[in-house]
Amino acid sequence: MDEELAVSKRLEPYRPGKDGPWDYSAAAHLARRMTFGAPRGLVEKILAAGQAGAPALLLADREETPEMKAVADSQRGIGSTDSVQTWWAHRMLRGNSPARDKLALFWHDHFATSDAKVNDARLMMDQVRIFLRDGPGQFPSLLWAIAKDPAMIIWLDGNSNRRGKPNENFSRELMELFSLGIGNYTEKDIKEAARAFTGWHVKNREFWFNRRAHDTGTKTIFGKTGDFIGEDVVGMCFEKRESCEFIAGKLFDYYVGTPVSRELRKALGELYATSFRNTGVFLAKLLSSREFYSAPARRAIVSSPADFAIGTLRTLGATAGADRLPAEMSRMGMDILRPPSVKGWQKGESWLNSSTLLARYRFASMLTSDTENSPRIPWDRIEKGKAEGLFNLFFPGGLDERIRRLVEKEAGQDLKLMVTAIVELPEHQYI
Amino acid sequence: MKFKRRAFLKISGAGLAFAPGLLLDAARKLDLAADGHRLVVLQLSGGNDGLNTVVPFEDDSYHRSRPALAIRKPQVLRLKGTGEIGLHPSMEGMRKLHDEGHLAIIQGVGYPSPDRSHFRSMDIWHTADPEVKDKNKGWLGKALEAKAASLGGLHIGAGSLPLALHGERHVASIQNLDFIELLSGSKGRKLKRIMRSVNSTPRAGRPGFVQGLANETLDSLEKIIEASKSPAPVEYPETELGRRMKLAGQMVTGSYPARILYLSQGGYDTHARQAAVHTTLLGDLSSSLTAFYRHVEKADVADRVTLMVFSEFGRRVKENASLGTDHGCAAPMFILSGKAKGGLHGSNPDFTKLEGGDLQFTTDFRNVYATLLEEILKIDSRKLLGMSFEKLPLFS
Repeated sequence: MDEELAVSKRLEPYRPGKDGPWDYSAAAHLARRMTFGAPRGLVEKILAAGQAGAPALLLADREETPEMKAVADSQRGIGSTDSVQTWWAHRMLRGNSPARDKLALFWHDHFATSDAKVNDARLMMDQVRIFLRDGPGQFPSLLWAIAKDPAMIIWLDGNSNRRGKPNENFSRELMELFSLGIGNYTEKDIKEAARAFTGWHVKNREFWFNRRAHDTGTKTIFGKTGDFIGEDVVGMCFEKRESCEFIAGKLFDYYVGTPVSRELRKALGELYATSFRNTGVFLAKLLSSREFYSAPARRAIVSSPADFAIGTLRTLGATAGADRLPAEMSRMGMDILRPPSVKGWQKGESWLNSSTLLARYRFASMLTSDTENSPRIPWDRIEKGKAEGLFNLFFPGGLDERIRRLVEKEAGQDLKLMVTAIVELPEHQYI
Repeated sequence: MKFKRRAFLKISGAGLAFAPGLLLDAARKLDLAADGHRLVVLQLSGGNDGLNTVVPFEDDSYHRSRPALAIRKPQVLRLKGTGEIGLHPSMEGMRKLHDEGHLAIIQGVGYPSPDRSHFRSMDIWHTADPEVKDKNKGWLGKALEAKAASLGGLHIGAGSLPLALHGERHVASIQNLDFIELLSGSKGRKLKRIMRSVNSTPRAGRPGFVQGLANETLDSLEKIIEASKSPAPVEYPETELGRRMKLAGQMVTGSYPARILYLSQGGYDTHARQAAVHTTLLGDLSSSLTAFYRHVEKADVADRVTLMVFSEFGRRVKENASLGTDHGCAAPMFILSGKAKGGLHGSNPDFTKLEGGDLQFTTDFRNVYATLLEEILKIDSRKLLGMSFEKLPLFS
């Protein structure tokens, strides 16, 4: 299916046999995009589930394992940024719903809130929990939950938003970054909406509607006039059709990564709307589409530091001390729970510069060093598979023969060194 | 060592075809003893409150608009040559630099139809285009392209490469000197060998980008390590900005072959309880800048280094109800250089001409860019900025 497909066809279901094979490489593609890396066991599970059912299976709501529950409790008990970061890294690495974590990471970037200002790691953890729980559900529910989330309110100065003295910070980002995108509202809409959110405060680390600080007057937003309250504004934002294209477009960039024409963007908005603005339903269709499995979509996305660090470990079957992962990822440019701004991280090729590339090399070299803290990799299993097994594990879709020979020459019989070289390959920086 | 020239080739060539003779020439030119004037850009992220930085303390409207936040007259640091404008009390170092004639303050800088979104406004400053028609190239990235053979860039900071530096050519980015350890010793050498090796085969398409970056990275690191051996005979503040400015100072005095350096200091989005935060930030800024200037002064290159300070916008004239200030428009910029014509430039804030509660800009930031491009980097600013902007008398 190399010919240019009409936009409407590109989002139709992928038909194995007709559009291309349903094989290990295709299943690994889905694993890399929906989770972190492509561990063999998971890829085989996806392969067996089939392209139509796999996305929903990966996103299914699973009860937390006892191990993960224990980690969550103890790290929450410590309550520092580090400990909560460690909890999340641990979940991504060893949890039973990595697809939910990957999606939660999307929402964390979308609703980018930083503990640098919130300064309350437990509230940050609660926010991540919202993403884990509501991330695959309906966008309106998620938006509602986030608008009243204490970390978000602290982050965007909700407590200083009072009748007569509105603070626009939240209402601006609600429209610009969270639901509509620039160009779909006016400065006046922001100012008026801020009044509707007056009194949305945090007290004792919980949402608190401060009636006395609320402006009950008439507001005009998006051309409609009424004595709107915050809930109305949230509703007005997601009801605007532009929100569908905005959210669907961002999800597409995160999961599929091929260029988006205006026409395709429109079709994505349509698909999101007909999925009842339910992100999980939308993703199930998008991630089983012809576009998703098309050749241009394979290895089209620069791996984020989470994809790189956690994905590499998971692919190798490593059980690392997750404690070091947040610091390593931070060096690579992604300090989870501390995004650089409310706009989140700059993605794509922006993940890579000389400084972050070096951090990736440092990680690659640490993988195979024999210090106490280095991750435990099942080397005996890898030895059994030999070089052949390693290449198939990391590049089931194949790798340029010249490069493969070069790596083999560089590493000789040393499979550990070969892992370092593979992880440093330009080709491995893409998922 | 054979890297010495090679680093140049890579930094300037960016994988494009080049003539070796020309590059050796350029290398010679980059020696600070010749005219290798460095431009250091410092970004204050979040929207610095210009009015509490460069304070119009004699204007009653200023005090009336900010009953809680205005800097009281007796606290303002007075500047030589003016009776109505002074600096925030934490900026003693910069006051001294001003009075010595090295610090130029450009008042009321902005652009038409100001945007109050951090991101949009930052993009406008980075691309030097109020419409942001091309989000792939920044004004400094274009400057690097314009003089491919003789200019290099360096970003000192965490996170992504600033849009201002985006262009056809890779620009190295470092956070600190941690990597030195990574590349030394037997393991480091092995690592370097692998890096070189896996990136030696030309690739088409996407991985080609990483390959180019990897090779450039190793090349520039060798140079950075060399330049970082240059001593810093002054004391920098023990802050993130201080450490980064120190590294910038070493790169400049140690002849690292970048003509454009880029750093930032965050935290200026002071919507609530501004006073204490702002005092800390400006104190850090002032001490770091002062240390940097003394550093290059001691190395006798102060008149071949120019530092420009900007923020994406200023803040509203009126304080808000949370003892903070919201996003505004025009604000001052700083130019620090041994060559600068110190003192106030442009027009002081006019509170009788507010637009929606904001100061109107009186100098377009592109006039500042044009001046720096022409006088410091010797680049045709008209071509780069897409139209002609008059130069300002910022240098002597």
